Amino acid sequence: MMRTLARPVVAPEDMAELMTAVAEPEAAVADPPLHVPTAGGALLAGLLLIVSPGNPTEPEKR
Amino acid sequence: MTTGGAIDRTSRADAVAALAGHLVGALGEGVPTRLADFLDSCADGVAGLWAVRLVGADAFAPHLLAGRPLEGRDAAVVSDAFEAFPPVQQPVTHQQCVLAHRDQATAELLVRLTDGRCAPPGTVEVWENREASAHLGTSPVDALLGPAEQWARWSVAVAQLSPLALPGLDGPVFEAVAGAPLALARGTTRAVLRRDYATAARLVRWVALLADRVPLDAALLVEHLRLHAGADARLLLDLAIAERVLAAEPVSSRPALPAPTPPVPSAPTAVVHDVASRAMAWLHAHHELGAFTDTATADLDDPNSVYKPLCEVALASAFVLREGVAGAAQLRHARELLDFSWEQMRRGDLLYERQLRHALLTDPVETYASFARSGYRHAALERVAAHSSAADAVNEVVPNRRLAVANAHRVVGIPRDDDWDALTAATWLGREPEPWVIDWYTGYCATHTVFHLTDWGARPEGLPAGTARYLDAWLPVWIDVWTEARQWDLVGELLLVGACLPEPRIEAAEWAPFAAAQHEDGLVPRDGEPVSDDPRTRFLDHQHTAVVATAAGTLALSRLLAG
Repeated sequence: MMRTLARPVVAPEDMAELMTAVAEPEAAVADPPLHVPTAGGALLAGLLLIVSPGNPTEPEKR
Repeated sequence: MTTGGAIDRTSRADAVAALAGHLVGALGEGVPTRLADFLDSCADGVAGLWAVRLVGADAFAPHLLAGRPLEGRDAAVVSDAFEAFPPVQQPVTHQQCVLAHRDQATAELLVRLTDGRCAPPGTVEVWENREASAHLGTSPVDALLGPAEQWARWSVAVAQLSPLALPGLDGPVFEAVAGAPLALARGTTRAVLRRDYATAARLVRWVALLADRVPLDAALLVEHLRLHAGADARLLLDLAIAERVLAAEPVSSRPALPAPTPPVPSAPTAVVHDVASRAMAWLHAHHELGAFTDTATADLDDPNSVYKPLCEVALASAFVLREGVAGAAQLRHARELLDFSWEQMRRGDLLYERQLRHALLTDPVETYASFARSGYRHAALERVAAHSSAADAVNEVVPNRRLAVANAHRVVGIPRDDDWDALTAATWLGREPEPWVIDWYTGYCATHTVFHLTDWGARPEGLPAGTARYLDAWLPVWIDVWTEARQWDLVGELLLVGACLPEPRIEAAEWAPFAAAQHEDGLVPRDGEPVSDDPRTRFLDHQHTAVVATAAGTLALSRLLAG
């Protein structure tokens, strides 16, 4: 196919779209790593300020 | 198709994707670059020219990085694109300025690659044109990027200028970015942690170009993004360019972090004091909700339900008494909460029985440290703990928790021969990994490593110099990311870390959102989820964050007052 170098007619909104596209902002909604509920028990226990996670405890109070 | 003068959105997207894929092929697979062929292949030629305008200087990436010749027909395509979509003659808005800088880069390369035979019409010399933003009293580049100290905003603008991250495109933009490697590294880390991979890929091009000075492992970063990139053609083009740049000038190891330059603490004392005193008042007002409902013994069914919160309240209270900067009401609250917690522990007997029965447990001594520090002693417990320590009766715990055990023994005064350097080196923080590999849980591990090494901020010198430098570089990023996510509990811990540093980081901009999240009654929500109206649920859900807020505000106030 032969290419035609004739200047096309562009609409003002095309320039506006170009302007927007070159200065694309960062993603509006961040998706940072968060607590994963499915791993809840183990993770929550692990962030204790003081108490060690996963320590063995007696099955019943005596 | 172009209809009624405007290009169809789908045609634009298709053309950009096709062009990006075309360029990726030319960079990686040796496919000849033919911009003219690309344009001929477009169903909508205007959309094709629009795509050429959008990728800008990246259209020349195969010529610069893979040695492909630029043919006359292809150069003409770029000129045509500029004719169709003319440059802005007087850039004023941010978008116009971004386009003007990108246009100048495209123009420079077109002239260079055609030995001056071809130049796009109408481009503005923004790099030299001081009048472009003279009204701002600064250079066009400085006006566009803003100060590098505001690295989050700055890096977004740098990402928008990613087509300028090509070898040989020296100029004021390159100089500005090259002069702020830490800001670039922080912005890139932030984008990766936000999982904004499009922005991250644009920034990683700059990282690759400046790989000898940006304190990130550029190759690892590129691979990380490639693993997560998906099939977005423009993103893949950014990564392909970054890989080519790195291959041209490989860097063998991650550049060292720059010398710490922590900002002068700027948070008002009233703010940090208010956060701490109101959080402690809230803990005090509701502490009865945290009492054992029956007679607790050494064998706790669920140590996390009551025992742990009591330990944490004791810790926050001990903090207030230790620092001695609180007002009379807060001091009274602290003393009363310690009394309450100590009584719940049956004046230490519960801890003693628990340690005696379960010699390898570490929590009795860890809990006891807060009481012992505040003058609540239990001789029998100390004897049992000393015996356990002498026998090295410590169960296996994750590395940062091993530091907790060492610090608790240090506070209580029980001898141990802990190798602090080795213990530190085993932690996530001690290994000083790439700052973007952190996750929510590891964030807590990192904060606690600092807490134990510094004895909760009492011994800032306990933090190894390398760790302090690492935190100086990356703590601002982590605070930013989890503040945006409204993870107030973790943010509070990170603010506490800042106050623990040898050169404390207590930034007004970082404290303001945390303080704003605090409720009228002093409750500090653990996150951005709705807060229950049920008093007991409220207390149990947010008690930990109140403890963190009390500790962080108290230590920050103490460090601020100490100058």
